[in-house]
Amino acid sequence: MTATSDDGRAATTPRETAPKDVAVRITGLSHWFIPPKGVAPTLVLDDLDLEILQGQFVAIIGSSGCGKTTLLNLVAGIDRARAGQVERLSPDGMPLRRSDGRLGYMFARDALLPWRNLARNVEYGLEVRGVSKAERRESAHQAIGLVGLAGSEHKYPAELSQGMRQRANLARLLAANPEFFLMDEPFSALDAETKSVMQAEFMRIWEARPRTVLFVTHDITEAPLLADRVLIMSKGRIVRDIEVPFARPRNVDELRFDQTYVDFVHDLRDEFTRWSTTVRKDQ
Amino acid sequence: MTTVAPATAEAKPPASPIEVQMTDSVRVARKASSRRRNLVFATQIAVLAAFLGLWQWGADSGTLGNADLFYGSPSGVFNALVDNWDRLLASLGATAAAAFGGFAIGVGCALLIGVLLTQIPFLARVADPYITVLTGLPRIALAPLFVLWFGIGSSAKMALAFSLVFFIVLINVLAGFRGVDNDIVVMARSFGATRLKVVTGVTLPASLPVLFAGLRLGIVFSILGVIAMEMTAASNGLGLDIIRFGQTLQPNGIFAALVILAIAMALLNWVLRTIEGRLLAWVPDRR
Repeated sequence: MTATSDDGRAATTPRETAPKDVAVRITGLSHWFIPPKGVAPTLVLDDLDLEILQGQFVAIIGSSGCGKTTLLNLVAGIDRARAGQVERLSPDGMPLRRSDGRLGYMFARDALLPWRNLARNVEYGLEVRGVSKAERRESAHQAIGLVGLAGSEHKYPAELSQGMRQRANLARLLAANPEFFLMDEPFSALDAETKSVMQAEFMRIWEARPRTVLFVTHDITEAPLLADRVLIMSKGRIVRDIEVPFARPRNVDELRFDQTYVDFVHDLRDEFTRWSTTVRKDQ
Repeated sequence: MTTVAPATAEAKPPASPIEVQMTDSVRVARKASSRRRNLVFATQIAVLAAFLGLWQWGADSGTLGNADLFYGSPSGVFNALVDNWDRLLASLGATAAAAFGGFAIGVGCALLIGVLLTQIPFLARVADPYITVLTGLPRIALAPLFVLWFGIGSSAKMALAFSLVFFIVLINVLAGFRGVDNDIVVMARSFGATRLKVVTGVTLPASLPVLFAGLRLGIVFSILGVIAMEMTAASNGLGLDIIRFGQTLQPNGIFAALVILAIAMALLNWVLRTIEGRLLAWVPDRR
């Protein structure tokens, strides 16, 4: 397993029409938070460079506090970086602004609006973008079907189980049909069974139309299962950039028990522990 | 793996003993709870009847002294209600109109200022000590000022009601907005929602439960302000009637006005509760 250059993905994950254009270009990104009085500020992100290609599925792993979520927030444009640059580009090469509504951000907590029923929650992203009611309804209906919640359209979040709520969250993301998925431990709050079902569903949906994904997870087994490329973060830097060799389309439920995958995860864990131990020693 | 026999529940099987037991226990529990409700209601009626009976007896027997001059009596209150019906109704109209006006303007301004303060932290910081001081001020004490400024018409009543409603609702707006789950705000922003859309589509509806607590208080305080102003200086209204009945030693008249007020408030509460039930049906731990 070796670190790869930016175009390393192509050799082992052949996808004939995979676009080679850059989706995200991060240069010299540093970030820190203003600490309370008497506390020295620490670097959360330390002069970080990263390029993600259009349609690439990139997973970031790292121990907690390594800056993964901060990086995601900066890429999403929810926070502004204190130093350095984040450039987001749509497939046609134009800048992708947050106000275009083509970013899809999903985190571990479902963030459903409790006063809207499932269907109206799923429509939310489209509604913000000003999509017509009929079109909204159609897309929401489709997305709800994709995540296996058909029939629950009129239920309110309080009437849904935790797993169903996170499915609804995913449906809302899919209905908005983003160019760029930003996912912060989207499946981490789920029970083991729901989690594997949702991973498989998401993989199937994504492979049907690959779009750029930046996927933060603390689950070492999840990253290589879904992603083309796994980044290990430590102390605000990307310390390893690892290419995932498994062919697509992937059958996630099969791959999970495949020996090459198990070996890969094993190596990945060693690598991960190496970096996370370093962090522990320093603290 | 064990094979599970497919469920063949085509024809409804006869109820098993445990099912019979379950249905029975549900029926018994329902019956008990309805009996409890009836008992509570019957006791409430009995307490009221006993109170009225005792009062009437005290007035008739002379135990309460000269009841007509001091304590009145249920029958006297009833007669006063009948005799002064038109006037009391007109007064109620004047009081309600002023209260509603003060309430509406107060709520409107509180919402506007509240949203502004939550959106512009600088303003909120500047306004903070003023809000604290003005909220602590007993606003009833402003009544003479409002008479000076607005005269004895309904504007002065509305002004006093406004001064009470505004701060109560403002504080609830601020608290409600502060309590909104940050996740849903981040979610809305990540989908590209503008600030206005975040406020109207996310923050405002999310803070409705807290807001409604403020509105319910606001209604009560709006009536309080109007009545207080009518008792201080006004040309009409239930507060003025109460003062007049008092000055002419007619306790029955005072009670009649209070009965009208109580009924009006109960009605208002019911209306508010209905609206709230509609708007807040989504709140999980209600009902």
